[in-house]
Amino acid sequence: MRVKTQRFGELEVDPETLLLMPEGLVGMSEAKRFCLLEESPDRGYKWLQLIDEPGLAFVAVNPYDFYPDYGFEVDGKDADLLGLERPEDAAVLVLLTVGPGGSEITANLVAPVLVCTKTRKAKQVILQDERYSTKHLLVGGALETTGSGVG
Amino acid sequence: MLVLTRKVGESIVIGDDIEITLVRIEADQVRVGISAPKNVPVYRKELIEEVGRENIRAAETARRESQTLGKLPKPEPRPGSEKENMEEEKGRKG
Repeated sequence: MRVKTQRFGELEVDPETLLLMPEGLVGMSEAKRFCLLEESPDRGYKWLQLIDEPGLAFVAVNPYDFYPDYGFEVDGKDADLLGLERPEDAAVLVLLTVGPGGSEITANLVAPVLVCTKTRKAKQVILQDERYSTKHLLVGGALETTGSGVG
Repeated sequence: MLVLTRKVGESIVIGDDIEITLVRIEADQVRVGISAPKNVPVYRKELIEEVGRENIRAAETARRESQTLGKLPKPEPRPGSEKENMEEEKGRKG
């Protein structure tokens, strides 16, 4: 299907790769239908592009690539919402923000996007874990936080 | 919004399985105990609001940034990392 994007122009996207977030994102409950784009294979990040809004997209990474100790329990209700039956079908993305001045790239580890790769459904879950906040400085390896986000 | 007055030690029951108890009153804050099933998330409201704001900032980032993203550190390739990535679901709560 054809998807209009502000950043990449008009793209042809395989409908099988679409993601549906039944509850939208936190604070953006209407943002439900996305496609996941990779700018180029060697880049660490992907673009989560809203299908119905060319100007609305997010930069996301696989948190485990940067934070090997990251982890959380999936609640049964969320697993049911996504049709998630086996751990192997789960994937996680975290959204990135570039801070003012363009110097800091931070990842929102307290609100990851949980994806069921089988059903292509996803949900942004908010974790109840005091180790995580909305802003973790993205450096390879150690779990760091700027301390400026709400944990 | 339903507004009730409680004394210390008194409780409010919501639905079939949520109970809120007034534990302690201090000068400018109140200590509240919450009893709820494991699958009912309980959050300080400002966390939910902060996540909503961070999502907006993330969307603005995607709209603006190209140069900075090029500086994103590349993840270290780890042997067997594909499989490790899928084991984050440590457990399911019923």
